[in-house]
Amino acid sequence: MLSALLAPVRRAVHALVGSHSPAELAAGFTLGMMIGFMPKTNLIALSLCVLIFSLRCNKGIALASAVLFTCLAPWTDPFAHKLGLAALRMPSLQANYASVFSLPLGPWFGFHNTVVAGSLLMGLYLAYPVFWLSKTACNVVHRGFAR
Amino acid sequence: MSRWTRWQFVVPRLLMCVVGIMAVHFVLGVAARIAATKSASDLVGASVDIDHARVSLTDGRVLLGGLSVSDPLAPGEPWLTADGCEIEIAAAPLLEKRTVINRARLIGVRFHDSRSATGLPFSSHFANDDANTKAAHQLATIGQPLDATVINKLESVGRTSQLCERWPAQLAALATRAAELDRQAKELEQAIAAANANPLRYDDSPSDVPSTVTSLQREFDRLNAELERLPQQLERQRRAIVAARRKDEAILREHIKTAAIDQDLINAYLLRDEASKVVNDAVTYLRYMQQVFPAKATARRSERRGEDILFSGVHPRPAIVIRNLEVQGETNASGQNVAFRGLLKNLTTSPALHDVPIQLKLSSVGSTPMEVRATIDRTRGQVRDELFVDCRDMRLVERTLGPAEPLQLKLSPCAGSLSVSLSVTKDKLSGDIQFVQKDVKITPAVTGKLSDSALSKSLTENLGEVNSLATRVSLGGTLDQPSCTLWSNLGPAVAEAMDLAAEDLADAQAHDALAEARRQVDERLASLERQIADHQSKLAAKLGNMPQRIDRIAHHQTRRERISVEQAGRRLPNNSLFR
Repeated sequence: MLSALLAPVRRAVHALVGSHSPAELAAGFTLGMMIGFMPKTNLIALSLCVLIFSLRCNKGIALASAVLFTCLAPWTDPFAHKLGLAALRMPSLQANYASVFSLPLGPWFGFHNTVVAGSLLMGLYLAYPVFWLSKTACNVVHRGFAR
Repeated sequence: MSRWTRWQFVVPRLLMCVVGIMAVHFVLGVAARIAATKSASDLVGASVDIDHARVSLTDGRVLLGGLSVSDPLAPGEPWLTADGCEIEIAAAPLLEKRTVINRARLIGVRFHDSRSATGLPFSSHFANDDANTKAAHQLATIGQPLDATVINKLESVGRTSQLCERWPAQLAALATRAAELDRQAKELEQAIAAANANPLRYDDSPSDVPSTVTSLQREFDRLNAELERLPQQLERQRRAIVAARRKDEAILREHIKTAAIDQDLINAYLLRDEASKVVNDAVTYLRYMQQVFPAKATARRSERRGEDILFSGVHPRPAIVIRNLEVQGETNASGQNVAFRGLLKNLTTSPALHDVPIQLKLSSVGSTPMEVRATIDRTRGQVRDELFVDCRDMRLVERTLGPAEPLQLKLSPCAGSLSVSLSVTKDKLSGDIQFVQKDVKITPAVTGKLSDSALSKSLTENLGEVNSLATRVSLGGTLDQPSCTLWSNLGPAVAEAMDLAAEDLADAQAHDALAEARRQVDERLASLERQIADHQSKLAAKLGNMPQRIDRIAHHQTRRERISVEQAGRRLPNNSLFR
């Protein structure tokens, strides 16, 4: 009976991860995490979405990861705000920021927003550890499926 | 044969292109509607509904249909509706995440003034806030009946009262003196009679009879003279009373005289409610302008996550700017529809970030000249708002001024003009609101105690000569506590008419009071005269035989002389032992 109940879950997981390598799954999860932490109304988030659909990574895992980390974002926003504020207030980079901001489409990237900048930096910092951990986890799952 | 020449290849792709274009068109329309609704709400500070939107990619225009702006002070109630809006958006600023509308046209605009004065969040403060009470009190003094006791305060009445109190005492004194005279005469007569009855007792007879007779005679003469003088005395005092009547009128005038009607009080009493509505509306819109367009750009924060950092060297610019917004529509002014058109320049969500102030200019189209100009200046950190309204040749409907009781004025339909000039610097308010009515007929309606008096007639006559009214409200103070000073030529006209009416009433009351006083004085003097005549006749009767009595006493008194012994012996009988 338990097997019958878990069958749909198993089929869904198989459909998601069955045809991709652990590295592709981990890449999708990592990109989804970066999108999830970040506010969505800017070109950085859109670029990451384009990146997901451009690279060989698992789109389903990326989408699920984005939804998951979007739910966690309210807890990380204060830290992201402080991090972004510290980064954007660096005096030595003000001229660079200003010149980038003044470029066409510059304001659309939204990097002048503290949470966008902070969550991007946070995502970049966490990208490799998350990728490594998720890849390891995917390997374990794959071996389980193989058995 | 190329595949592009086969319809089986071309038609499905063509159909797909058409469907794709339609889908893009639809999606853009929905997106434009959502974006326009949000932007418009930010611009006007109230909720905005848009029925539909269409984006024309060929000429870069956005067409909005069925706009409805709710009243910022009464959410849910429509304040402004428009049939449509045509927008030309500049493309280059979009790359900078800015929406710059070079030209927009709002057509079919209609204002819906559903707001009630009671719903306003504040009330203006006038110089005469208790005008109704004061004016009612002052008007009440005009028709008041004269106090009955005032007649007793008149000099003629007072003198008459004194006379009436004095004369009875004087008459009683005369009567007492007459009685005393009679008593003395009677005593003397008895004494003399007793002496005559027994001549041998001659030595016991009164010895001072001659002097007593003399004093009796003198007293009788004085009494008689006083009695004869009574009519002359009365006549002299009557003349003094008649002379006092001249002062009576002055005393009455002083008593009846009412304070002159305060013109400012009448102005406030009649016009304050009307003026309050205009002032409150104007000030409410000025406050609304300051709320929608705050002095600082950061005053309105969005609900975005985080904080937008302004890098050094980057000049902040407003997110939405409408450089020229043409407006066409109609509104209701004093019960008549007035078509108008105008131009709103430099409208933006952040006027503090903009280099030029927001300017509005509306003018009417048609027979009623009307012009509205407004400036909202938040440049360089200053807060300066100006509002000018010039409306001439308005056709005004019949109106009433003042509370229903005790005095209300009815104004006939007439032509009027309104001029508003207000400015706000920070929160300091200053300016004037002027209202002129021409060819107006004023009909007073006097109720209550005054309705029976001649006041109504006098007011009608005097106000009939006034055919033009001018009212000016000068505003000061702050937007939260505006103070107003009211001036109008209506107050002096009504006050003058009421003063004249009050004077007429005072004349009539004084005349009645004087007649009453004269009647009372005449009655009392006549009564006194009768009383004196009665007393005079009684005393005259009483003292009528007094001269004869005194003569008789004097005569008897002369026979009383001492006889010698020889004479006494001769009077003895012949056979008397002592003869």
